[in-house]
Amino acid sequence: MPLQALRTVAKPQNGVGAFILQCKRLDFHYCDWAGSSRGMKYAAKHRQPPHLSMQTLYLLISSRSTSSFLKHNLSAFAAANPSIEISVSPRPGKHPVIRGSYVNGREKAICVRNLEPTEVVKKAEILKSANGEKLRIERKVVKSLNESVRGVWSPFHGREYRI
Amino acid sequence: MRATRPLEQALRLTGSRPTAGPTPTYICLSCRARAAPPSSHRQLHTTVPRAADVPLYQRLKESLFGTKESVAAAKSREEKQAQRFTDLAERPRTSTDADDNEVARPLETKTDKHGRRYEIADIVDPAARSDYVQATTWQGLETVGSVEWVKKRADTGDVYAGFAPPDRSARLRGAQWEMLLRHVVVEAVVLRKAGRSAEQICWPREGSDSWSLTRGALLEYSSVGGLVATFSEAGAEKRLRNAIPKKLPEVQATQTPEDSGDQLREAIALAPPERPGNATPAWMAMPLQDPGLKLAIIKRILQITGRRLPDPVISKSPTLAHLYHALLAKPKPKRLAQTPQLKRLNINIPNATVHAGRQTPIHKDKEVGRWKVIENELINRGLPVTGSRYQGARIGVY
Repeated sequence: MPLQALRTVAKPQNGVGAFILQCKRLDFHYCDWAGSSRGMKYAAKHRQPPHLSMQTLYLLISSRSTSSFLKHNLSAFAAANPSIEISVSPRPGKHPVIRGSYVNGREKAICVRNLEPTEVVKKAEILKSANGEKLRIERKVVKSLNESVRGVWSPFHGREYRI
Repeated sequence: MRATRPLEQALRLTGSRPTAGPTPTYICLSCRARAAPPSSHRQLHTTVPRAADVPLYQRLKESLFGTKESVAAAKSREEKQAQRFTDLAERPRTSTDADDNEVARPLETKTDKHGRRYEIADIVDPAARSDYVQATTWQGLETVGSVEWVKKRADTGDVYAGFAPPDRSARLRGAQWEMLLRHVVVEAVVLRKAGRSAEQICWPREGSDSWSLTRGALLEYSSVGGLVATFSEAGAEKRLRNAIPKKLPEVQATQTPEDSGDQLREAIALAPPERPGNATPAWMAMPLQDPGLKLAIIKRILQITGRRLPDPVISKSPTLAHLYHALLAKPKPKRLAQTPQLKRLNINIPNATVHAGRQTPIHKDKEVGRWKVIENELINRGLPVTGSRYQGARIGVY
């Protein structure tokens, strides 16, 4: 009788079949009075170049250092990420912060005090592309769900070694 | 230390020098301490120097029964107090005023060294007055030195009365500003033609039909003749001129908010339709080189609408058109949530929400629908819904 293969259930891997963005909500907080929120808020107005896709537009706008994030960059960022719920609210007397909520229920926050709009965009991208897992150092470079192909070594199975 | 020098000199003079070796210059600490003046001594003296001559029993007797001087002073104070009681008893309780009515005797007043007048409280001798009942509590008695007492007597300083009415200009459109400016300019032009100061348009006036008179005026500007106002109705110019007071009243009445509101309603009534674009009428090209005229116009607008223009804007407005555009300009939004960009974000982007106020945990619970349950439960248990029960806790604020 031929060997029966082990029946294993398919292990879910985000991105193999379908991809679910782990970030479900981004909260942008700023202060109307404090100067550390300047990069988030104030800017010189600029013209948006026409006939460009939202993604390119968003990238172009974010590259201008004098633009603020909330006034000019956020609309493109929100349009480019329709699956993320975006909330903007003041937090008087505090530094500006971006807080991300994830599918696993955890939250991550990044303080963007005294950052330029381009840097705020980068921090928003970091939060968007992160999952809710805690930050940890990866000691093992290679990760796999598969078991060892040739079996893990033990001293009991193998050729006897003699000097 | 200076005191060591005479000590060294004294030692030298005594001739207590050893036959062999150099003259010793070292002085020990105890000799130095003794040579130092008494004021620099750090020893604690328990005896007061002046009492050293007085024997111990005398000092004990004085501390228990007092010295002769203190006893005599106390005795003289008691005698003076008794004398004051008898003087007060002999003085009449009441006096008569100008109408021969009996009034209570006024309290004695004195003036201190700073020139302040104060009253001396009446002394009541309980032994002399049988109807006098000593108070057991302080209810109803005059309190001295409390916060209210100090505030009552304190000098409040100069009381500032504001001069500008509340700003009602936020709801005015371009055509309404044009009507208002036109009315003010017509009055100023009429006065200037009569040789009067333009400032008089700002003087208080009581009930006039100047609004209807200025509506009938036609303004024409030319670089040669300047701005000219012509009236279709005969006698309208004279009536307008007479409506504006020539003299400033002695008692200046302050404008009430209702007056400025009525004037504003009169000004913007029957405003024409909006002009397309940024076009301004020809009469607005009138230059405002005369500072008196410019300030009179600005002050009159302030009196009617409460709108103040910043000084840099005033100084950079060479013509009426510049003033008109400055008045038309909406003030910059003070909060980021009020800017047009974020308002558009709230409307156009479905996954973005802009909140004008701080979002608290209660707001988050309300979004989820948990708050009503929490609130009901707190009320049922008799607990404060927000904050605590301390005095002055803000209720209903999230």
